[in-house]
Amino acid sequence: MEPPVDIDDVTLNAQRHWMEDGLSEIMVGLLFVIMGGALLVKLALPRWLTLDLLTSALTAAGALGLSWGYKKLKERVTFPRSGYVALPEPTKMRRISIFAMVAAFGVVFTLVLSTHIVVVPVFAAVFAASFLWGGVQYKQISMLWEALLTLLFAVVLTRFTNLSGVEGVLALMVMIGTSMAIIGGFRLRGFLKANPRAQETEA
Amino acid sequence: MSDLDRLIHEPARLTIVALLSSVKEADFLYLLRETGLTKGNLSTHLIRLEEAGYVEIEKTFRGKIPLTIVRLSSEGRAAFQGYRKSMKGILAPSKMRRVPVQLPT
Repeated sequence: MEPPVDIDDVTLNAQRHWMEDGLSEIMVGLLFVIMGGALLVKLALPRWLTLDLLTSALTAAGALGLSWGYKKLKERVTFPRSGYVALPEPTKMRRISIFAMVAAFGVVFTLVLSTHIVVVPVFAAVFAASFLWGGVQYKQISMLWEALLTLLFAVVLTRFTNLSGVEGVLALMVMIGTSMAIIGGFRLRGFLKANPRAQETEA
Repeated sequence: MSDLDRLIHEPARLTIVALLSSVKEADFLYLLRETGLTKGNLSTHLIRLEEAGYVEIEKTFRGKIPLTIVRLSSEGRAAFQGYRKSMKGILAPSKMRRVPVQLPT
């Protein structure tokens, strides 16, 4: 005897619903562009011109602005068209594991960068694997495209430019961010076409 | 089989409860799109779930548009967990039967 519906698949719907408008991709993409771009500009400027505090403040302001804009766009664009959903607050265990993962990624990032080896393919593989996992887990074709594009960007950076080390990784971040924002933009357009604003929802 | 919660086992209500189990709360429009039910059908199922104490329904307005927020109550969450456990219990013996038997040679 099987359950009458695929419960595991249904419970993933909220996450899929959260991503279907492309806004998440646009926001994460823009965040990558801001972070990578700001650090690239900082590295390109002469040392005496670099204003560490200003760059960090601009990056933080950009991240906060994007977060605020994301919530506002969800309220104005997504919820009236495809319904309102509030995802559950992450549990304490989940918060700890996310923090541990981010910290581990930061440590690996710093260690790999300090070794001066060719790091672009390593980071491209990590990003591509993450996109691949997300694409399969949440059935998002766009994420599979992003995985493929990430690998293509890595090939372009390693074969056709002499950017390596930190600059290479930052350029990769900017390229990935740009592609995510563009793909997100196309998805948002498709979402708006497919979901006209609902006037009356109640029975 | 007798352990199964018949109220939840009905496909439309199971979909509603499964959808609500993965979110903090959702509105009527979201449930309408995801379940593919008609407005009347969805309302009827929600009322039955509310009567059983499995969901909480809050009627409010977004501007001038009526907005119905639905969330799973703690009883509903417990009932859903119980249902999943019961289903696993029913499925487990049938999986065990699939293990090939080695005949003595």
